[in-house]
Amino acid sequence: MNRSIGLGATILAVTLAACHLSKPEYATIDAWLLCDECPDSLRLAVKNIGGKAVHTLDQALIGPSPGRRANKAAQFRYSYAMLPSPAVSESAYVADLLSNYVANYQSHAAISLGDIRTSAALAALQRASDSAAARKYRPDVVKVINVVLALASATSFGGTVNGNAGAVSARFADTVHVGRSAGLGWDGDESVIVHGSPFADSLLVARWSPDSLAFLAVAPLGDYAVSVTGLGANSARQVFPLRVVPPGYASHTAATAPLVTVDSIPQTRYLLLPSRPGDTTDFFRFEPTATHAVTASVTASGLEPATLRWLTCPALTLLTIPGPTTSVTGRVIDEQGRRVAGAEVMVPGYPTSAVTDSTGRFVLSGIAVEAARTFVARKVGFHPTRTLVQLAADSVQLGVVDSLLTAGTAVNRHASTLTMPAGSCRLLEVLVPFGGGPRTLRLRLTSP
Amino acid sequence: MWPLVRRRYALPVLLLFAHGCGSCYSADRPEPPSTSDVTALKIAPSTVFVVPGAIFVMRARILDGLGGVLPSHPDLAWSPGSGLSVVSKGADSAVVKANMLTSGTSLKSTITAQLGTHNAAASVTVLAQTAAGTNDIALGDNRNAMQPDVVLLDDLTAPIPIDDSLIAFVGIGLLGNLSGGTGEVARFASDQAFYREPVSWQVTKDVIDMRTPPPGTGPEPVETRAPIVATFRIWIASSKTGISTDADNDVKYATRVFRRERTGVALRALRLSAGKLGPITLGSGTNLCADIRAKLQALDVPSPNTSLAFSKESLNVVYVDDVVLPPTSPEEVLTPHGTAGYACPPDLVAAGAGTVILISAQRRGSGTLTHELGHALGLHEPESGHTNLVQGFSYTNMMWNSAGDIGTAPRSTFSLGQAFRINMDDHSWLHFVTGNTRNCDSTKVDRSCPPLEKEFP
Repeated sequence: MNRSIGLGATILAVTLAACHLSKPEYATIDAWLLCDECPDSLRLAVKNIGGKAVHTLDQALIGPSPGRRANKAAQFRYSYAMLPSPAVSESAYVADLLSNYVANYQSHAAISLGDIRTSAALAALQRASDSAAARKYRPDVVKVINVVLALASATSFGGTVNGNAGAVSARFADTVHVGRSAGLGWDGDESVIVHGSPFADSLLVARWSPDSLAFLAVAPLGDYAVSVTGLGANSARQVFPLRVVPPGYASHTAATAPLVTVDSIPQTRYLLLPSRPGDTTDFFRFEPTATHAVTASVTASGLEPATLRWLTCPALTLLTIPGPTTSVTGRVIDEQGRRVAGAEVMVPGYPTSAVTDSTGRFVLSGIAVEAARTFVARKVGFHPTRTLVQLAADSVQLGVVDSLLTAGTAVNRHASTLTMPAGSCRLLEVLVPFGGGPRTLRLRLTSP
Repeated sequence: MWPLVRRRYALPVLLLFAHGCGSCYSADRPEPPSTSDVTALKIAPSTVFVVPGAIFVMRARILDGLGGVLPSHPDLAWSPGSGLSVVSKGADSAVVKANMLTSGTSLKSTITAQLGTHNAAASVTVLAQTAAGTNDIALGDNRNAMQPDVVLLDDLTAPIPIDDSLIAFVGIGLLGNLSGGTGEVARFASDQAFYREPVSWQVTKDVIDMRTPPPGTGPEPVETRAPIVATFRIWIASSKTGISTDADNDVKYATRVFRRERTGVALRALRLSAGKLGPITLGSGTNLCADIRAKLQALDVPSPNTSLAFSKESLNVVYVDDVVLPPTSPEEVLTPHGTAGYACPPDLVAAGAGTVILISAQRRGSGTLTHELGHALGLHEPESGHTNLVQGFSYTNMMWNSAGDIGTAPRSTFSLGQAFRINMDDHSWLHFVTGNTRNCDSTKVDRSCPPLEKEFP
């Protein structure tokens, strides 16, 4: 009888020892949750603790305890007291840093649960994902949880991404090509989901063929999990990590506006806006002439409302470039082809300007020929226009745009919508005031 | 057998099989101390020499049970002994005045601090002008309402070597009778540059004069006057609302800590806007900073509309949305994680980007910038400069690697050993200014640098 009880107690002790964390293991987890310069070895050490750590990490995913938050708040209040002339209130200072602290704590817990990847760990992540609102997770924490969950709970993608196996980087709005691997069923109903992207409808499948598809990498810069769904006869899901990196974006001028084929509407374009202080203006050119109205809408959460303007495409004017000299001649006409007299033509950066004569002609001297120049034509009653002229070319176009169309702005979700009537070639000008928040803009073009 | 087994082992077997370890119960982690309970009280310096009429600052070191230095306590009471008076007091300090001597002899007095049941006393000797006798002396500026100067002394070739002896003083300090030969003094003072001088100790009286000469009286050793100015640029490459204000507050905090901890460094930051905003991802492999310059240029740092550029001597701090670390293992699908800050020293940065500090806007704490500046200023070893892995430090040391909640006090202190390395180590960014190139390698066994954990007296 005694032997039997002793064996039972031994099994119980072994079970509990295997389940309970030792003091050093607690310390390791704590160090990982709290570190501000976090070596990979620490993350690996938590991973190696394995399933025993799940309960503690699950608790940590909820967030630091009230006692820990109180301690941290006290630290930040002390720090604030040391500032000679703080630029914010104590409450704002403490709240901001406490938010960072809690988010870091939760994110590290999520990452380690993904590393451990047991069913209990995945269940903890799923609970966190399901109760993100109730737990008041910060958006960046929600993203980490969703990405970790997606990566940890699915099979790694067996095909190729941009020709490579495994993780890839893509510049913002670049097309990412997903290819079938040998033996992977691919019947044409495959699609992709970018987990963690705040742009729920940002995935534009550009095309798919019997063994590949492509989509646009449209999400704020950072790391994402991409699921490829509908694979094979069982519509299985596989996943690969994607890092979105800066595109080196430069906005277009009217002269360099990318062509939007009206026949291809509806379509969506994405811009990752440059973040240098100052407004951003971009242009899109619509050709051929639309036979139906086109509605453009811009949404960009976190940005100031964008302003949209439809401009007629510049009227054609023939310029004669007298070779690589310093004089440029040309003529300005309006959109009906009538000669415009008295219009001022100038090149920004040059002190001289010219005024068109009664036939609309002008001569500008002293212009260097080594590069493209922007010519500006303006006259009272007309809206000024800018045209990029490659001075090495034999001829260029210079025009004056017609009247300003009304701009629609709405503060809700910072969306702007404007409809272009059918009938003429148009330029769409998108003006985005500089502001904080995500610098990503979505332009949707639809036709009633 | 089965019925017997089932009856006797029912509970443990059930526990064993019903709970995989992933779901088994674990006790909650112990909570950190939730109060700022004082467990020890000290006064710094514990022994100080002052000239008559000196007005100086004594600081209380209020320690909690974890050895953390609590930054303030409103109930702290100071009691000056004879010949001393308290001019004013702060939460953890008192401004003390040494009265003029009524006789020609020195006066030994004490000052006591009391906090609850804790008491601490410091010895204050008011030196008569003739009191130096044959002892070696150090002379410093007698400045109002400053912490006493601290001198680190070495007399290594003496019959009984003196290594890292400390003297605190205001105006004049008695060093004892050092006569052994080769030695060194290093001075730490509030709002004055770190000062170091090799000394050949003589049997006769040695006078180490570190006073600031009056203008026009000859060569002026610049290092004895204004602190060394560490000028750096801060680039805002984060879209976080209010990040510029956050950065300004971080600089103020760092400035205060470097000043109060007598590092001799004055921080000057020029804040600029980067061309683009976003996170930055450190490289993989052993050198995370190898391609940092190209990554910064992708954020338009330096901005194309400025003439500023990186150089070997430059120190640039970049606030980004996040500082992302690369995946740990290519064969596993692992999510990269971020870090609050990262300091890239010039010898790890390719293409001459100089010293680069990255701060994550979404992870930074109040001391992140100060901590990273510590790395940039030579605190890089042992354990990458992180004192949580070094004996003799508490969580309130600036180089503790944790944005954690171990206690209620923030990271806010540098040790004397750290202040020495900031000024002398060849890995410190300051060596571009000072020319000092001492190697305080922790693996070396010599006496060229005081121990890292050496505290101010």
